[in-house]
Amino acid sequence: MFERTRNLQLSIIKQMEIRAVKYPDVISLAQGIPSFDTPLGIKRRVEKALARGVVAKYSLVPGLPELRELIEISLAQEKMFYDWQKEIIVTAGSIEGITAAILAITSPGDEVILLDPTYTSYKEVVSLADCQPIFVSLDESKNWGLNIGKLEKAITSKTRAILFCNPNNPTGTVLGKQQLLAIGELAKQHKFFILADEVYKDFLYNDEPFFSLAQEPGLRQWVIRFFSFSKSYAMTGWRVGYLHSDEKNTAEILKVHDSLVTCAPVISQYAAMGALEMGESDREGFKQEYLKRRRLMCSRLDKLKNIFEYIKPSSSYFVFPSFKQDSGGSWDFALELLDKARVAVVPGIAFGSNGENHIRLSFGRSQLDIEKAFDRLDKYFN
Amino acid sequence: MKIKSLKICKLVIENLMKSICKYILQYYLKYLAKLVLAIYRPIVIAIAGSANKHFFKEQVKDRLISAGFSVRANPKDFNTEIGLPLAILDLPSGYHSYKKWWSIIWRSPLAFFKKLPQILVLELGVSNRGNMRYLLSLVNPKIAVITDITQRYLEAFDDMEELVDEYDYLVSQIDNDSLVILNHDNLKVRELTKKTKAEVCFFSLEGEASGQSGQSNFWSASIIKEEGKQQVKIWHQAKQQEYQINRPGDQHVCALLASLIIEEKTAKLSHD
Repeated sequence: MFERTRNLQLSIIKQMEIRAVKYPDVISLAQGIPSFDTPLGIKRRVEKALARGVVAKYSLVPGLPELRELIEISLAQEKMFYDWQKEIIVTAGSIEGITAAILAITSPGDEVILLDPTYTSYKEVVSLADCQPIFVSLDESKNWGLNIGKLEKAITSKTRAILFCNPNNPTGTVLGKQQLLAIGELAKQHKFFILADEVYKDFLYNDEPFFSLAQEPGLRQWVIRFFSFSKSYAMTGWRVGYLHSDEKNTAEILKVHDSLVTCAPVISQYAAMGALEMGESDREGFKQEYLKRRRLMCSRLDKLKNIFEYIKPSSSYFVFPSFKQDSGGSWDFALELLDKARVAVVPGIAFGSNGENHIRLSFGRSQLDIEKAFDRLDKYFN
Repeated sequence: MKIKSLKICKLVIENLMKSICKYILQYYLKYLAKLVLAIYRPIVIAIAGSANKHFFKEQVKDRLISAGFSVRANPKDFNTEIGLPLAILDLPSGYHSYKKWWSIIWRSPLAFFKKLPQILVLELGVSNRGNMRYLLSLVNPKIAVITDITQRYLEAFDDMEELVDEYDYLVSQIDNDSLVILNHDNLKVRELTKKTKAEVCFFSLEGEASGQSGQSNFWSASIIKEEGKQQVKIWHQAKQQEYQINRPGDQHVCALLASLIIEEKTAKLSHD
């Protein structure tokens, strides 16, 4: 019994949230969710769909045609050219898309390369598919960059895919174009898939253009790209996202998507349409606010430089500082902060062994919460 | 109880105010757009249908610009009773912000001084009964393209026939010296030919298999797909020409066919 789930774990982030609930006055910098509500225009779009009576039935398995058409238009603006009729699938958040893709492209015993540190749920999804996660550590001294030589060494005859989050959660750093193209070359050479989760790509703070391997026509049969409306449009609860790839891949992924969820929630698909039709200015507003919060969080961290060292994130809404305290590791350190300072953070070990001795702090929370949390940390450490 | 009633009253008044404001805005923009159209008299090309209007619009716009015309098209999906006049007047939308709408209305008279291009390529969106009649009270297209008719937006209609009636109305309003371009691969679209007195041109993806590619009003294509690109062979009047489209999807081939027809016809129009 429970053979498949025996080695799965409830993510440490969720465990920390459950513990934090026991402290009514806690301030959580643990949750990776935006503090904003879904923009009004998106809500109005949903109200309109409700009034028209179009949300009660299933949509087509790959999603509402009008939404997929909008997605094709939006992708083309970012120089990614995919056919809405055959190459785009609307999913129940990006993690459902990732799960469907991994189940479609792998066989039990295959290896999937994950970067370390990386988003916690990837490992569980890979294990769920009876595959082996192979970790390749990122180099903190090089802005959490990827050493291509290390990646090459990790590739075996069983390697079926590499799965990464870019911009990265928890580090908030971005893999550069040259590194990505090198991954692309290896994928073509060794015939493995590149699963690119790009849910934070709308929050880049350096104003450099974002590069995705899905923009490369020569790689389209190897790249499966995921996007979610959760972060960009403050829609984490709506559970809607999409994936796109060459039609040969999406045809297979669609079968798994059908068996998992039949279709993404239709009401959320209308919300996603609202986001693409009129969410641009709200998204830009969120980005400007995150910029302020990043500045605030970094300035508060600077005041604790005897405790923390960090790389300024160039994207997402996370900072991933290392700490200099002698303690039993990041889990104990996070518990101590929760218990004594009443501030919830995520221990770095949640994101892989390379994340040990770090904590993840989210500036998705309001400026007031960030100020209060750091006042408590100041008091605790001083 | 009293507070609840007050809240409901407030909501009803708010919604009523919103409807009144929308009504005033809609008709203000409509008559402003009609005046501007009457002053500058551009050629209007209407792109209608259930799907893919955006891709047709963009393809037609790009081809006509390459042919040397000055052209503008609706931004985004500005194709409804409010979106269409905004597209004609080249104004942005205020979406759900009263403040933004006030600023747009304030600036709107400047549209009189902004010369319209030679050609406007305009999507016409239909999602309710009577939408087409309203939109055609605003514009008088010289060319109409029907991309496709599918079950999309059917929920607001009693049946498919009622939805098709909207497109019937469009083609019936096109003058006999004008042009209607229809998707031959869709039966409902194909049958619209019976409802128009204008010249009709068909496009099709069935290529030579349709057996009609020799006809002067018939344009067809066959496709070879490779790495997201499409090599397209196009037949017209028993002649074949090759094109490359740098994106996947049949909709882009159909859009190319429609744009080629329009390019040929507008060349004649400007020559005449």
